[in-house]
Amino acid sequence: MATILIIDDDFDIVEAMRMTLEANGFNVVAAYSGAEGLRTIKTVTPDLIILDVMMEDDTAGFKVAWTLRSPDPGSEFAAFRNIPLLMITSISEKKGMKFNPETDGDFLSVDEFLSKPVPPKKLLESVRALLSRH
Amino acid sequence: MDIKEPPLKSDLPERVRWFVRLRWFAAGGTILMGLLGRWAVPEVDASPLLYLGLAILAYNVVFRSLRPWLAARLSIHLQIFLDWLALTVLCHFTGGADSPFILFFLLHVVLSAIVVSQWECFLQGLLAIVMTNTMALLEATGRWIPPSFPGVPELPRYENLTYLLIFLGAFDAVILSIIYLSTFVVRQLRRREASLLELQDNLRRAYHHAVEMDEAKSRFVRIVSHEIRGPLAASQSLIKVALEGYAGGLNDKVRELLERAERRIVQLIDYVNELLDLSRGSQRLPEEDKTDILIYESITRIIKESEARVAEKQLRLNVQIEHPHVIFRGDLQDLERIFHNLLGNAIKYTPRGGAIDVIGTLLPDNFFLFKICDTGIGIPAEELPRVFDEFFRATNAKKELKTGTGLGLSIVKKTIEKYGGRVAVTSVIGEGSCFSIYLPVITLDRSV
Repeated sequence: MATILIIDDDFDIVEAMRMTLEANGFNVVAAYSGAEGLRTIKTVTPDLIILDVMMEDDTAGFKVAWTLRSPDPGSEFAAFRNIPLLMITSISEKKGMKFNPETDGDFLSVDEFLSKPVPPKKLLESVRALLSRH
Repeated sequence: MDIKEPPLKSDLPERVRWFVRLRWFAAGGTILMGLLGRWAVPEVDASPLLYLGLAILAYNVVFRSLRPWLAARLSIHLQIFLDWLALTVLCHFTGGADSPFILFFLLHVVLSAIVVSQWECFLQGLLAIVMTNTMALLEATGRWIPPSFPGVPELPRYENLTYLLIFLGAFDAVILSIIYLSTFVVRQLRRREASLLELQDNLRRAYHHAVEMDEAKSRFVRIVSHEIRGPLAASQSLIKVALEGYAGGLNDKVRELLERAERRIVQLIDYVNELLDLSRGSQRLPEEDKTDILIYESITRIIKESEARVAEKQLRLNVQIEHPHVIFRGDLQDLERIFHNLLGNAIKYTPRGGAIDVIGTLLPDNFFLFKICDTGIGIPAEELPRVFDEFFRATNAKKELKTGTGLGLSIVKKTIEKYGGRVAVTSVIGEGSCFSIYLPVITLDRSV
């Protein structure tokens, strides 16, 4: 059973995703800030991470992604570098931030980008696709 | 907006330059007169004129080179004083009080009125009067005899002191009157200039204030919209999860209520998104955020996205885009927002079985004309000027479709204008509407 870590500071959004994923047989762990998320990654080693952008600050999600994917060989997250990242955020936040893998893949390597609110079907589809790819 | 300030008090140095420029002609004229006099009237010694011309030239050179160091006001007064002196000498050597050059005093008085203040001009005028009158009296009393010209009778006014005094009195009165009149006119002009400047200043302040207010409004809308979006997105997600049955079974009534609630939330999310788009419409785009976009690709993508709705309403969609290699430099989302809104409206307000024409063509001045015409319900003529206003919806549009924010077209207009383009509309009620947008573009190849 795949373990999915949701990092999002909105309790209700986490709850909605958790119910959808758990009902479909996934194991869900939640973290409510970027910092907590990074700590949790080390303890649970998830199979996939769902990551919000704006949390304790406007770019907390980016920082998590950067830390996780750091090319530095000595990085404490080197072992978690290849965990697929699904980034979710509001369309409006996309403005001026280059993190869409389709157009700015070289800028920040998240594996997929979804806009909030994410319909349950779309969420499941993306999660399954990412897991089967990795 | 930067308004250039017209000179008022700060233009003294400019007036010094102007004075110096004019004087080159005076010096040149005097020298020329000396040279011509030598040839035309050999009986009279014309060398004083030559020397006078050279003297004018010399002090003009001095004033010109002293410009950076000599205070402008002092410079102007010294110049006028030396001019009076030069004119007096010129008059003396060309016939004294009867010299035709005495009229140049009047001209110079007018020039002085333009460059110095009223009382300064009066003082200068008095100096001129003292100099001319002294010259005439010295000449009349035989203390400074002007040269006599062959063929020109001796000056009769010097033989009659009363007549000479009347002449000088009249001359002095004319000088003073001219000073009064010209300084009066100049003062009036200056006063009006000052009030215009003040008006301009007020306008500039009002304009900046309006711009600031507009930015503040956009900022406010942006912040509020962001804050509203979060809870809305969360509510929608929760309802969706419930509707999908992940929270357990639902009876039909609960399902229906949740669906209704979700529809209202979607409406609200759309509304907030449009408000955000509107506030973004007027936001300047930094140059580094602009990308080169193939207009053809962007339009095609939006059309593809709309295909399902077009098919559902059985609309005939005729697309004709010429020049597929035209590039728009800007933000892809901005461009697609424009197309999306215009095409969306055409689909919404065209009855089943109608037609929509999408035409794109390159205009000779590097503008791309994108026309979208429909056979829809049209816009009432009296409401046409307001269709681009924020929150405005035409009366027949409201009847046709209850929901709608009235923001779509103002988003289109603001976004297009941000790039220096424009949008126009023609419409006949019951027959259809035609929106034309003019977008500045880059063409890599004229033949495309």
